[in-house]
Amino acid sequence: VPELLCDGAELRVERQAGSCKTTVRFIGTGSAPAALAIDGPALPQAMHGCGSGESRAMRLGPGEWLVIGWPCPPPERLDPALFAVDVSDGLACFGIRGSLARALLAAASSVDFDPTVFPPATAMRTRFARTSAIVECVGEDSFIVYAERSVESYVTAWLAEVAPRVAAAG
Amino acid sequence: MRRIGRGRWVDTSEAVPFEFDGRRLVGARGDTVGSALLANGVRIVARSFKRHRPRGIVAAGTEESNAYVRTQAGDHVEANALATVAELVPGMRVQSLHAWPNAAWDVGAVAERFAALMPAGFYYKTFIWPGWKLYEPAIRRAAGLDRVPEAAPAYRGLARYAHCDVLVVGGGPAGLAAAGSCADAGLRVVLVEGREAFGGWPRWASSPDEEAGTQAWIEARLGELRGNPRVRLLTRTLAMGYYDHNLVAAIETFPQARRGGGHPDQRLWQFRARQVILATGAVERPLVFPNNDLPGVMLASAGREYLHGYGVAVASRAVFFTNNDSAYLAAVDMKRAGVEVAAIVDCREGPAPEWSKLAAELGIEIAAASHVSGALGGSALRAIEVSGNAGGRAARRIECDALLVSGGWTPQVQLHAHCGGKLRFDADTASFVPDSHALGCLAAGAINGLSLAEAIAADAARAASEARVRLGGAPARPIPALPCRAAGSGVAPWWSTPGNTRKNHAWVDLHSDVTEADVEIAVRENYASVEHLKRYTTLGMGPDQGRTSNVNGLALLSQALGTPIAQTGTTRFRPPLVGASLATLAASTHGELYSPKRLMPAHARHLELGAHLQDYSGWQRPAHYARDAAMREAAIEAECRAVRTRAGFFDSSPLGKLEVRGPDAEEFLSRIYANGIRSLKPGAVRYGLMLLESGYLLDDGVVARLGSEHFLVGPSSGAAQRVLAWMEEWLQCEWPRLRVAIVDVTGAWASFSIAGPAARRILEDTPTDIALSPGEFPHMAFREGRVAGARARVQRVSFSGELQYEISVPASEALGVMDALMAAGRTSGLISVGLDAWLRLRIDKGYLHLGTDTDGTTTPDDVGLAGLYARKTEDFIGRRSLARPALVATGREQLVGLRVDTGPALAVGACIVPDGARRFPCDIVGRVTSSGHSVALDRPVALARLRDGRRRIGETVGVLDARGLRRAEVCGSVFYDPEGARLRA
Repeated sequence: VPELLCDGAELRVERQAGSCKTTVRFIGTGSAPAALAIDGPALPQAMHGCGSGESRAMRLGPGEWLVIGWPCPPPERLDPALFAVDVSDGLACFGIRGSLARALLAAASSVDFDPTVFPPATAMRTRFARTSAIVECVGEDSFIVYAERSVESYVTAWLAEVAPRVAAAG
Repeated sequence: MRRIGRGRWVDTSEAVPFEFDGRRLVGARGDTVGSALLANGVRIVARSFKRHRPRGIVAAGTEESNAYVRTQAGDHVEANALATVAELVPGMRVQSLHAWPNAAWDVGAVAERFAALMPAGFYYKTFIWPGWKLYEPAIRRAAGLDRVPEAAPAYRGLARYAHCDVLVVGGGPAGLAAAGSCADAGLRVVLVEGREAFGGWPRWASSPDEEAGTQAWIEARLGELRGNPRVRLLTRTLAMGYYDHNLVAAIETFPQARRGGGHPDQRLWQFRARQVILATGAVERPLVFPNNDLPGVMLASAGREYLHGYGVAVASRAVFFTNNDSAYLAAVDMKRAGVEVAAIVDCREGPAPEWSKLAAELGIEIAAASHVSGALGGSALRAIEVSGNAGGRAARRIECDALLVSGGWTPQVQLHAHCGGKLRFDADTASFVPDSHALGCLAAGAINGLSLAEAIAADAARAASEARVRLGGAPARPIPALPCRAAGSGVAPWWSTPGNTRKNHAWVDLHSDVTEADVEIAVRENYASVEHLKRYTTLGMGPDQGRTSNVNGLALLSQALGTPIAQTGTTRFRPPLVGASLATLAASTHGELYSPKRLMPAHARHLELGAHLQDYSGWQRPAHYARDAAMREAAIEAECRAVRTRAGFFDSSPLGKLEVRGPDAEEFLSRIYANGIRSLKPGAVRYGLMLLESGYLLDDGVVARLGSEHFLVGPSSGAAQRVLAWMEEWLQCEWPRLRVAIVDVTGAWASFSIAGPAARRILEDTPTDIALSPGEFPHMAFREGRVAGARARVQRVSFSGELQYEISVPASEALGVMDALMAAGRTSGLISVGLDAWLRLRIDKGYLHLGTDTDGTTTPDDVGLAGLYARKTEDFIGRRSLARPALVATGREQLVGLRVDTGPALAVGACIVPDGARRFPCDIVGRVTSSGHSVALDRPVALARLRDGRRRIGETVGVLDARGLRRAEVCGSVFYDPEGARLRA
């Protein structure tokens, strides 16, 4: 159930309902397939590259992607060089929006969130507060943070405490 | 001291009431606590650190040595606030520190009577007998700064990371100009300034006729920066440390916090810059002469800043004492503002001609070639004595209420020196200035010993050019000079008073109460290195970090040693340069947010069931389900009994779940595991061991084969992340050609174990499509299907010694499945079982618990598991090491059981000694590793690591712990159902 953690004019943070999430690993040699499946989302080849739209994939590491909004295909529908695992239940999602969204993220992570460095369609796995998370930029001032489910309560508490401070301090 | 006119930064039409030591006073909007105290004629604001001498304000910024106070505004308390920096807010209560009952009347002042007994290092020598601990509490109470506020701190800190091309520290003329020039090149620039506005010294140092031009220049520079999206401007932000890789930490203070409302009070910035430019300026140095600590002795620049910035005249009748020209600017401005300037005592032969002429025009006497040989007064300055440098004549007395001193300027090089910056002594300015820097840090402006506006502008352009070129741009254009008059250096070093017989009253470091005599004592006692001097006398060790005392101390040391200052060198500057509260450094990392607690998918249900949660490897897990601690043991026994006689429900969700897939998955796992993997059939599960290269145990667990190229590896709960990293390291670094991928799905699945004789019936009573008969689903088998409507992976494995199913379902369906299983088990007597019972049940069976029964030097043979790889012909990690002589030698500790038939369970950790030994010291041949009361056997059982343990089976040993000596029989480690009939049921 979505839960509003901070509702300000310049910063809005909410816990979001999840959609399908699939971890995809390339286990072949040479180039990875361009897409998860024939009709599936494209697999970006650039490091930290990310697609757009409801169904999209983000490249998190060499031969590693996280696919959002696309059901994990059964092995028989998959390129044999790809290994896909449904991790929908393993990740919690948080939406962060507003002109202070990057400021909030910069309070949690040492990644450079400047718009020129971390523009829309960028995603990165990083340390987030005292845990790890994947941060995806889905719009100019709009982000989704994917944290491991077991630390969902910690990330929720952290965002609920820090977001209002960032909203106050700018 | 009084407010005499318009201050540039204050609005005197808006009164700001506040209290100081219980006195009600009124300041003005824009005042600092320091300026407001001066405006109210408060001369004593603090007591000195050691001798409780009365102290007044000496400076106007972070270089202040004396004026540390406690401020309270609403619920916001700031300990050790610097009065010269803290912004005044209405209703603020300001309290002096280190004085009782207050700074003006301090009982501790009696310490001054014993000053002769308290030279540098006195406590190293005095408090030896009978021991330092006897004196320490009283000394600590008498010394020190503020106490930590007793109320729980309100954590209002923030932390923020930031990246930039160029970080400019210092928003004075050089910093502004350099930042503007870098921004002009399209670089990402951050400019930080410690004060509330940009501009630096010209804001207060410009004379009234220069004010408009100076402000226009500042605005022009700011105009180059404001509105540029690639520029971040931060005021009230003090850089506190410079670290490797151009990481600079800074503290931003929010004055809004003092107005209440829960606003964050400070923010810790961590800047990562490609290039750093330090424009941290310089601070004026005091002069060393007898009684130079009396309230009323102040830096000349501070007097000028209070005059122009806050409209406060710090004197009715002032005398200046200087060794350079810059004090003349202050004297002239004060005279023109209506303050009587009795004299300028100049220890040189005279100032530059222009200053002589100007002083004459204004009727200010210049006492050239003279020096102040003493300040007179009790609790504050009343007069000074002036002597000629040549001696001869008697000292002349001049009445005054302020002595404004200038001993030259000290560049603020601390940040430069924090991280690989070298310093060199500049004889022209008698100070240390930046030299080379390991990280290529640049310095601009007064930090380089420059003081004239034209020189500063040119230096800023030089630094900006260098930064631009280093970052791939073009050199910078010239920067127009600031239209603000500044005095050239013209400094003549003046380190001490000739013929001074009261060196114990000539202060070098006001904060730490270090005198000229202390420096000489240190040298006499052979603390001749500058680093030793610092530690022996505490010179420069106060929160002001020796900003005003460092160079004077070095010079006096050099004099005492007879060596040049350049040769004496400086102490090493270390972060933090400015004080930061621990709450700010902690930011959001406190309380529940200090360390993430990992919660299991069914966490809420365990709480409803009354679970007592404990941290196990970061996971919050039910230890037992007792309502209170007194019932713990009873609860554990009841849970054990349920598993042995009926069934228990155990949440094993934290067990690692690593999916390993690929054409080479079998080959990969065969190398990773010590035991054989190739013979594992799809649908089968096997217990396995992973070893380090050293042959020692890394982890144990089960591995299930889901398909020909697909495995599910189950590391133990505490080692899941370590095993994943270990496997990835081997895969990526050693065997990159293997076509294998590993995905950690631990968090995506909830795992529940149903254990006990009724386990099968309970699962049969739960809706499932998995055939459960022993023939179709034997022990150590894996099946997929649906349980309680959820997709499920079920393994028949056992850690309890009973028939057991481990059911994994998607985490989002955990609560529903748990409820269904508990409902199905109600008639069978199913109850929840915590980890305490779970770990006790496994002792009956002698099942290994890594980290409990093993340490970092345990081999598989030590725990009786060498048979797992005895027939394996392939190589695996650690195999070669297992053949090392030390690992096969006799005398190794081996896992065995210990049998005692009566009494309480043996203590875990108890020493095992040879039978016959009665007390320590004696040979310790092993230790108890696991122990508890076995419900099934109704007697204590224990596992132990015993030297040559397996050879000793049948022997009797002593078990020695704090409760005494007991005898135990060494036996095999399996106490219960050795044939395994129950778990294969």
